[in-house]
Amino acid sequence: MDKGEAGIDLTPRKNIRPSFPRWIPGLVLLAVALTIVGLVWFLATNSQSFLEADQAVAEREELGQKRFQLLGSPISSAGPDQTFIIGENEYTLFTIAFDGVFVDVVSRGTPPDLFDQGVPVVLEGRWENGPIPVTEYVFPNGANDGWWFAADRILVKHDNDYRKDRIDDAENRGQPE
Amino acid sequence: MKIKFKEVKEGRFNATSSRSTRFLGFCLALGIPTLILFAFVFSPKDDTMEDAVRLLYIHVPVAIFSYVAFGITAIGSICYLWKQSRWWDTTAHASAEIGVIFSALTLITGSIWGRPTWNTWWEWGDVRLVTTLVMFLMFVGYLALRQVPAQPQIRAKRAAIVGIIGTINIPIVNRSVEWWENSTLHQQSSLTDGNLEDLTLFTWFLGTLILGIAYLWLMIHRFRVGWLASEHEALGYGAAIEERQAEAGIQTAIASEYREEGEIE
Amino acid sequence: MSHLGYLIAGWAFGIGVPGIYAIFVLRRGRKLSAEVPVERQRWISSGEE
Repeated sequence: MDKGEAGIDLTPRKNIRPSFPRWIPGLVLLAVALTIVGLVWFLATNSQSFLEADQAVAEREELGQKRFQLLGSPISSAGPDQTFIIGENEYTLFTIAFDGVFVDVVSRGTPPDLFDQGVPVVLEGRWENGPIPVTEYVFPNGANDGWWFAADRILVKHDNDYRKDRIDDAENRGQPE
Repeated sequence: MKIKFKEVKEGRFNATSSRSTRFLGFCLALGIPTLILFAFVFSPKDDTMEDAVRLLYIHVPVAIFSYVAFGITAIGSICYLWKQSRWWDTTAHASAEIGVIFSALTLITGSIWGRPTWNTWWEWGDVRLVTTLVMFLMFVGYLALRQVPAQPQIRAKRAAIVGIIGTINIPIVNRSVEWWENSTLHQQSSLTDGNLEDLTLFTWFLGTLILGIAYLWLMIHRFRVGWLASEHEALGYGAAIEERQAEAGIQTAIASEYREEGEIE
Repeated sequence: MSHLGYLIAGWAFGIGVPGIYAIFVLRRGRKLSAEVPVERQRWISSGEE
């Protein structure tokens, strides 16, 4: 028996509590440290950065067939005359703008509920050059320069304005009124 | 004025209640139905977002109070390291637990709101979403660390360090929509830009007030639970020492100390 | 009302989760309170005074 200075039995009792490995606190601290490193890495190298339409047009050659996210505002809402079914796919054709630069878009699938004129959207896809799937189609007020953005996903980047008399976003984005 | 033990025994008060929590609870009982009424009936729908805007009145307040809760954890942690006081450690722990609940709700309600507005539940590359998730996970780690058996002082010190580190992320989460505007679908602050008005603004304010009261109510109760837990733990230590003393048939300086503090009789 | 399913889900989580957590906290407090002497519960007076 191990006796302390005061004569008490100091021999550890066995299994008073369920055993808990001593390295657990170290592991939790390591997980916290790794989370911080991961966060810093994510913030420093975040690859998801939306290219504004004017920037995407300027960098068209460098981008080539690379998939990226394009930011701009539709210059009109998607009407039935812009929707076409080719084969098994539905295509919606529209034009977006940013700072006065226009990009024609051929989007596969149905646009989301909030898709509307002046509400910024983020499109996922790549640049294409040449005829669009709907031949003979001319984008109303669009770029119509042979280049078009083939999108397969539309996300809506809603603004932070909830006022009744909000400024028409089209004005801010340099679009035709 | 304190509640009486007799009132707890008779079931008129909960064990962690007091007159202040009763008052806050009464405010919540009135405030929550009022908030629902304003959110769903009186406030207008948005021109673009339509009725989905009604999620703003729950999502934004829980997000604000998750920041507040983790902020209080940081203050509690700093004060614990400075004063070594159990009061501050209990405060930090209580607030972290509530903050984890609120930040989980921020992620859940945000995801539910994101589907009809952004057309996605979640985006892994989105800075606001990912930094909020990291904030949540950091404080889940904080709570996990507190579950690791250790001497109360060591446990509190470890937790305080993690609590302070975790809080560094809060300004990053909050400012991410400004600093990386083109790396998030999340909108910038409507309030600071003055983009809320009339009943929309009022309902947002009401939601924030109600969530503030809920935070305070939960905080008082959770603090007292934490206090009771540490008392209970101290009683356990005292009882264990008493048991050893009885076996050895002697008294020690440690046991006398516990007696003086009233933790054993 | 548009988006009703999302609204119900969002509000149900927003109110339900803190509600369930509150019940959990109160029950834990009641259990611990029964095991800690009343004089160590600073917000409760023993009632003799």
